[in-house]
Amino acid sequence: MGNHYRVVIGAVIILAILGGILYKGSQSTVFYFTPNEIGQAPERYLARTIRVGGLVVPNSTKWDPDAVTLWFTVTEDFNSGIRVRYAGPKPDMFREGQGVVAEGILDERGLLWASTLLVKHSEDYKVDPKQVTDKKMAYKSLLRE
Amino acid sequence: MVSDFGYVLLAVALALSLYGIVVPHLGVVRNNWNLVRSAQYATFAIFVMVLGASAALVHAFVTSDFSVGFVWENSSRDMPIMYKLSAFWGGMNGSLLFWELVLSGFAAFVAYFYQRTNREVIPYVIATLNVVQTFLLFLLVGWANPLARLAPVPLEGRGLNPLLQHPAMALHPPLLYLGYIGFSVPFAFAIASLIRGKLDNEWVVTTRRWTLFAWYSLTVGIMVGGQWAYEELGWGGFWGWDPVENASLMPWLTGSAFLHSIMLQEKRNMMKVWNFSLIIITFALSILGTFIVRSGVLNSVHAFAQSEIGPAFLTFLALVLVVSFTLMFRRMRLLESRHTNDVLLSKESTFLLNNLLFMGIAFTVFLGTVFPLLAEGIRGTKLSIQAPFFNAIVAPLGVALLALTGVCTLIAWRYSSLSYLVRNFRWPVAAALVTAAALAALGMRHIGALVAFAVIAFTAAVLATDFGRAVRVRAEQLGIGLLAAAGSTVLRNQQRYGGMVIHLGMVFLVVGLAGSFFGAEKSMTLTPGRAAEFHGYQIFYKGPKVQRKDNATLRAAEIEVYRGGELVETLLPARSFYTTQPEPLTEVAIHRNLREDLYIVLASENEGGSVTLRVLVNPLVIWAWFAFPLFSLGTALAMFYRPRLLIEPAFERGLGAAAGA
Repeated sequence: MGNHYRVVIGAVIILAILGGILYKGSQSTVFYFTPNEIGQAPERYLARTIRVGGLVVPNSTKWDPDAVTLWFTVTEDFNSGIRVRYAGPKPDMFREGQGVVAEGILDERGLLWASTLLVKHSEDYKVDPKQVTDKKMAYKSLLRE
Repeated sequence: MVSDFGYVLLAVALALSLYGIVVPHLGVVRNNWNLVRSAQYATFAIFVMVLGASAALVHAFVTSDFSVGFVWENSSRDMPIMYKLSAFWGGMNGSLLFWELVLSGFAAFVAYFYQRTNREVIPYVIATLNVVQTFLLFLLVGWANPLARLAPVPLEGRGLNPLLQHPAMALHPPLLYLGYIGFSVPFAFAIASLIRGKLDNEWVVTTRRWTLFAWYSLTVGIMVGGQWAYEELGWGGFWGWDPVENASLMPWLTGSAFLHSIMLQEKRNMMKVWNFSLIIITFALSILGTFIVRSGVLNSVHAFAQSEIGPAFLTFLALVLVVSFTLMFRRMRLLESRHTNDVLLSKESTFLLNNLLFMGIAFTVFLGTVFPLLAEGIRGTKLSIQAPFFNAIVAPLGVALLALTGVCTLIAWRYSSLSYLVRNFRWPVAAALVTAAALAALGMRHIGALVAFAVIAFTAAVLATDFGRAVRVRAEQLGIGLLAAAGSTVLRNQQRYGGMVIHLGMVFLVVGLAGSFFGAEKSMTLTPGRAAEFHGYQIFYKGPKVQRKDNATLRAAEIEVYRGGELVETLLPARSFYTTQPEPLTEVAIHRNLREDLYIVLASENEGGSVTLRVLVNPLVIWAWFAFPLFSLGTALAMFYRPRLLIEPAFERGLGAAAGA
């Protein structure tokens, strides 16, 4: 008799885990896009968290230390780009002309309100996968394409 | 010169490992024990040769011999000797050699010490371990030769990545490898038992200590890795659900499930098929973990196919899974457990639930880690699965596991009555409710946090009351003092109390993790002489300070931390510049007390002399570290307990409630 209960309890737990995976998985998955993809149809990217990768346009950076806010534009072809407002300290390795990935929400004016900023190491910096962490990782797969 | 000699040793070891696969089998087929013995000697010889090759690599590191490519890539003359040595596992090729070194040591140990006691299976244990050795030696001799030479010889090395120049990073990889490789011993015994059709509990009982040892190494390795991430990466946490971290967590989860489930086989003769499956999965996940970390698959799914290591690992992984499970299914009919227990309120049920939860967490972590790789590899879609996914599923399951720890301690094997449970759980449940109510009264509104701390209180109370009761009973029986009774209680049932000490460690670990419910973070820009207020601390920026430290220059901000008008500590968050590296490294400064960590990162030095700081308050972090001595003590206690082979109905005796397991 008890075995019957156990099977039911086990099945309920397994279903709960699977349900949680499906529900949370769809919620916490963030997709990568390029500035041009977004530029073509910005309305499709509104009001959800996205990752945008590209290069920092030279002379587009504004760093406001008192408000701890960083402004810059990312591009892939230097013709068009997405303006980013990142609320956080300027990362050590942030340079103009270098690759970054910004994660945040796009507003109707086409401004990306970024909460996370990942910066690419300079090329000759040998990065062993062992040492690379979430903050330093995600940009690489994107920018190498 | 020395390195060429080392390479030759590896090549000979490869040949010997092939010999060590074939010959034990021949020995069994021809019933010629001399053949088995020669394979045993071959296994010893492999160890000596791999040791020699490793010594050659160490020699190259110590003498800064940059004609060896691996040394050039990972070392430089100005590095402290400790990091010159730990650079051994600072890159892929050296890591694989280290793995093979440890494995060959374990194989030699096993071949020597179990030849009499496990005579029936030992030929195939040796053969199985040699299969794994052949794979590694094949990589080392072929694509991942750590002793390969460069010409012309560079004058200076590129230096070990500064991120790795940290004491925790000298320890973290070897500990993980000890864990991974430790599981290969029970795996080899399992496979050998399947091949020989020796399907009793021998393999489980023989390798119990190896399992414990592997579990302990992996646990400490993961903790040290978290410590490194916390101090060295400067993003403010110790666990980010990064694929590299998940890679080590997966075998830990299935290994933990295995550690519990073999007790069911040891004591109750249940779960035989399941235990074979678990050790196969755990070993496969150890291989997968190394693959994920070392193949470059994380940099780019497409890049790994160009390295030869990636496909080689995947092929080996597929081979391990297919062969192992085929062997198991062939023996399936003989493996059916004769004992089943279908009483819901029994210790058996809690063990089953425990395994279900561990596997649920492992499955979640596996999906979250592998899915982005598959999505990119198959459909070309780039996506990332983020921490909230893992937290949302793993945290409730983890808290449920901790609650189960408490329930399992008090519930008896085979059958417990409801009234017995009510009587025993009165006080722990009261403790849980009081804790939750107190925290709610203090203003905590996060439901998850309230549940987590209630469960922490419940399990802590169960462990305390259970141990207290056992000690009191023993003191009365023997008429001795409480302290002496406590010692004798523990020593009389080391396995049980070793487990309880480890569980107490888990309580502390969860306290530390649950602290992240109340963390806070703020970024601030300060000019010299200015101060800011954060979470009751006054953070005063005195000015910049430049220091030399070993092979780096530190540009620090001198920060005085005050609380209640008193100076608590002067902190030096810094950025360090290494001559061999173009980019600076963040050096976090931490003020730690029992309540919380004040964690300060020097984010940037601005024009005009101001600095931007990221300041975090991470509550209760130190409590997670109290788990470390408890894990060590508990493992030691459980390690020195010697189990007996279970003869079928022997478990009938002495199964009173308190004397459970």
